Amino acid sequence: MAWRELLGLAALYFGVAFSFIGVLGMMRLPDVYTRLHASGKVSTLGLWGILLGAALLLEGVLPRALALAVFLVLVQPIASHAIAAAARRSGVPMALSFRDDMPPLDSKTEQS
Amino acid sequence: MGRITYVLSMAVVLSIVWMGVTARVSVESFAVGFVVGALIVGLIGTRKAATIQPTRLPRQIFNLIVYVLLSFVEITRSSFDVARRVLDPKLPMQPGIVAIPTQDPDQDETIAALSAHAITITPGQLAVEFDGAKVMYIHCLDVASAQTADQEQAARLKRLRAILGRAES
Repeated sequence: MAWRELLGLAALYFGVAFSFIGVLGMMRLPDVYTRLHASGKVSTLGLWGILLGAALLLEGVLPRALALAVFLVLVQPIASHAIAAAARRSGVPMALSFRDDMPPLDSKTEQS
Repeated sequence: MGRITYVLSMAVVLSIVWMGVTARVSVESFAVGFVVGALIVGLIGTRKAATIQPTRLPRQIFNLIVYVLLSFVEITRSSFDVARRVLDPKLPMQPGIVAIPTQDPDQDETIAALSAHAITITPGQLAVEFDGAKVMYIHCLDVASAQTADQEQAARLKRLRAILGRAES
């Protein structure tokens, strides 16, 4: 089954490339909020690629890879949101800001 | 349907998922999934999240499938979007935080949470903070992308309400 190995390797390289872009984004982008876009989204696609590669190259990994892919999509936005909210509440400023609709930190945000 | 019936039936569903994930169908595997599932649902499960209406169930399931497929498309799109920006030498972006109302008449927390999840998946947007279940504060990589955010939220709200079996508004 050569085509399966070829596809698996292609998926693996695709995943590694996207993981690399995610790390590159972490280094290039200026602040927490923009970096979360890179770490969260890009590396999700990267991990999907690696999971797909694993499912194609190894026997009997498919159900686990599928479950992991779904859990990743469910959980990754929650983690990004938690980090962003924590940063905002502890007063981390945006390095680059073209608009800010959010009221400044006061007693109102503490109760939520 | 009582609370105990609810917890036990959810535990059965979760243990079936567990057997699927571990790819091991046996009594022990089912027991582990059942006990852990029952504990989790008993501790944190709320049964208000979704209302199943027998007459509308096919539509609810159809909407759920469409929603999941759209989520997969969105996350792929957003990954390519961020990758394109990161690889551009000029790092094109106009970041900012934009307020988006959830537009939900019931101000339901489940819907607010699912909307925030969906928004975090869309290209260049990330939920930062909530004002109750009324307003979401979204960090955008490109403030211009937020111009259509209200219409997108209206469509999203409609689909989420259809999935969860809420009354048509």
